[in-house]
Amino acid sequence: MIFDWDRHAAVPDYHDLLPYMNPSWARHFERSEFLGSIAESSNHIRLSGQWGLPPVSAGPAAEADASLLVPHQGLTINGWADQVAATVFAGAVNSYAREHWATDRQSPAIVVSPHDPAWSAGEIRQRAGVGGFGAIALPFGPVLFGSTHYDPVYDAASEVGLPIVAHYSGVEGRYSGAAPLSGGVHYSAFSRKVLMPQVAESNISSLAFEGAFERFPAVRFLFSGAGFTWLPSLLWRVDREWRTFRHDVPWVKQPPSCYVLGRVWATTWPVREATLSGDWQRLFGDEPFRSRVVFGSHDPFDGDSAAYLREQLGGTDAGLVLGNGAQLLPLGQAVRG
Amino acid sequence: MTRPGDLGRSGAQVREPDEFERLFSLAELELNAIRRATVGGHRVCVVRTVAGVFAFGAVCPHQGGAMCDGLIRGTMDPSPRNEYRFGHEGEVVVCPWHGYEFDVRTGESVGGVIRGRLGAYPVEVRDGDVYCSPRRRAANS
Repeated sequence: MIFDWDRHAAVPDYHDLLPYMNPSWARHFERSEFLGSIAESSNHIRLSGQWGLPPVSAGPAAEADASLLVPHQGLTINGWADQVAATVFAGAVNSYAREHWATDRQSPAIVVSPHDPAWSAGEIRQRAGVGGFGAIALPFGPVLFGSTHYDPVYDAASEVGLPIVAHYSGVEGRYSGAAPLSGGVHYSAFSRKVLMPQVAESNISSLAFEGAFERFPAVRFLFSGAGFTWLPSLLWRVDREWRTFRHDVPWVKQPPSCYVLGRVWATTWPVREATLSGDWQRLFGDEPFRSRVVFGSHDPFDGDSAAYLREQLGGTDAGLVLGNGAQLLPLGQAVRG
Repeated sequence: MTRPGDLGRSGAQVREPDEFERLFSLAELELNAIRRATVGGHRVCVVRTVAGVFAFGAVCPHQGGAMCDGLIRGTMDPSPRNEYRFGHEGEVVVCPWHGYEFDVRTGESVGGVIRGRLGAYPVEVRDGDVYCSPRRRAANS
């Protein structure tokens, strides 16, 4: 079977979300000043080709038996200053997604807010109770994933059996509410985009050293859209530091890599960076790393198809990676292959 | 491997007096000040701590750090996040190079951070003098 864990879906027009809100909140959101401020193009200054383009969604995944849809518009709430409005918006996205995108072969992720874990936990339980969702999309906030700040989210994720999907929204490193990037503020979306592995690595390191894997042994994490070639070197580094500083993190009871290699996955896109200089064969040709990599097309954003994966990795390895998504299936039935 | 909560407390059990060599008088050993010595051709570190008198190998099994330049201290037992539980004072030596901790009784890596272990040598105090056997303790003894 083929699992595509990184397909994107967008609400065609923000007005389409208004019926999914409390009517009074809808009157707040329908003002053109507000809608204009959250349009996608406003997040891509200097990418002039984006101006005026409607939001885009991936088409039906002909190759995949099961797909996860990431509502990327919802992820941008990590940069919102009004965090109450952000939850109303995310809730409307989730309602819209359930009604329009959930099918037997594709499931949207429940968008939650990194700024409001209590609301997020309630949203997870409510949406999972209804069904049709395949994961929980936790945008990158200013607090790293290992913090107890997120314990309500992980508690709810443990309860409902859905994995956490971490995919950048595009505003990281730009808006102060979203996760910062080290070094400073970049002036373009493309400049920030190439640094998304940095955000993934930061959060994995935080999960490991803050003991989140010990506190929530049932929670699984998928880092999506950030590549994966950095994983072996990251784990070597966290293990090295743990050996020296175990005394300071006695709640980390085994080498951090042991937790990560059992509980964290990363999507393939962009797979080409793994094959350019032989990293795939050198680092991912065998276990334990090859099982950590899950096909994610990133469609429709300059993504990788399953056919391209076969071309790059060869039939045997591609077959494995295309099927690795089975490890992330909900501990229930939201994604049906 | 030794877990932080499993540090041995048995002390020297080997009783083969003829093999033991006199190293120092007990009075010469300042608390937690590691001394160098040679026993049966083995370079060892000898130290008196609040937990007793111990002898262990002079070379870290990780990358060869000089253990006689290490620090004597306790360690943290496994615990929930931000609930430090310090214990085993005087039972742990810390490598000066990378901070790896070893149980001074058994030589094993605290927390199992590496597979290798220090040599651990039986010590006895007789009439105010410190004696050491050249025979390394077996693992898990």
